[in-house]
Amino acid sequence: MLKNILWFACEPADEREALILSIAYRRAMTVLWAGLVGGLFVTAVIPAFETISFAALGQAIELLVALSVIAGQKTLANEDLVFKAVRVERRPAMFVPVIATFALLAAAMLAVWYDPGLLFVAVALAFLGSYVAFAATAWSWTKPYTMHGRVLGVVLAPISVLAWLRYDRIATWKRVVVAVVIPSVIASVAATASVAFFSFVSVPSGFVGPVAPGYQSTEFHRTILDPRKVGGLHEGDLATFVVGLDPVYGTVRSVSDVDVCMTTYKQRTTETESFCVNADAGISKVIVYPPLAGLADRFLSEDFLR
Amino acid sequence: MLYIVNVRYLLHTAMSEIQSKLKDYRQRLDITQEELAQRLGVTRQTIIALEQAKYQPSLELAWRCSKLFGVPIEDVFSFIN
Repeated sequence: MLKNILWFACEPADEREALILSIAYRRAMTVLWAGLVGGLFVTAVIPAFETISFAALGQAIELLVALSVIAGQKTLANEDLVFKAVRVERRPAMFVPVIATFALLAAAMLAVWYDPGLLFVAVALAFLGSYVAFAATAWSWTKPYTMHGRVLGVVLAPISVLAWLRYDRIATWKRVVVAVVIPSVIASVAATASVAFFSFVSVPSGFVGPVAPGYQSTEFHRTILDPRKVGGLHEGDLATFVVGLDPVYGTVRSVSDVDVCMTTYKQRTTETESFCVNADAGISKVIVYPPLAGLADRFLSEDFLR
Repeated sequence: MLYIVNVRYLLHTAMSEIQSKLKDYRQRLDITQEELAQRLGVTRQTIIALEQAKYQPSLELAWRCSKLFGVPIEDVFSFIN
């Protein structure tokens, strides 16, 4: 009786059905709330997504309700698994993901110390690796829950899921602080610090990561030159100049002892500009690319100049 | 009233395994699962779950079982930590 899709309209016939229905309701609400939070999060962080989300608001809500109903129905259909699952110990061990995070960060620091050019890759791999470690742990400790709830929780916030499960014997408000507030604050600080690091800190030697927004080049730089010894530069070289705090990618038009003239291309659009910068006026680094790298850009540059 | 189940109840059930002799006592009385369910006021599925020790009964249901069979509760249901 309870295993049909209209389970939420059924009255429980006895205490066992009341128990399994309450679990089904809880899981359905978890899916619903997690979906709403996830949807709002996506809307908040993706620029211009509001237009899409408002246009599809009705369908999105219908989809979430349908998912939550299915989650509840699956709970009722798998009653044996549910009653069996609640008997297992549900306090996850955090040793593996925490140690993995520290080990990956240490490895990243070692890699950057060995070769500063690996900064972006090492940090990205460290964060990705620790995320995978936490997600895998969260996945293994959420077996009692439905697939929808597991996917949502593990993908959106594995650390919060683990903390929520681990600290299950404290007051609810403390649990919210430990599982939601603290991880959010730490994530915000880490995100802000990494953005600030990549945006404002002086670009280290050999680092060609976020130098040219929108530029898809995968070529490695040839050499790093002291801007005060620009004799190593030649006309037509593709280079990145770090002027003050702003890296600019472009083709060198002319070189002299004091001036470097270059044409910049911004994100391969029609928005182009030419300007001259004084080598004594704040160029902190020059990264020159190999002669064949970005050959098309060079032709484009010459076409533009013609 | 039973509809809202306290999480603490679930946590409590998470800590122990139940052993059930309901099937033995039912066979001694020579009654079917359906008849036992009717006498106890539950569904047949609940009797199946109880006999297979997949569900832990409430104190009230356990007491009704023991009264029906005329034995103490711990003779019908016991817990293993």
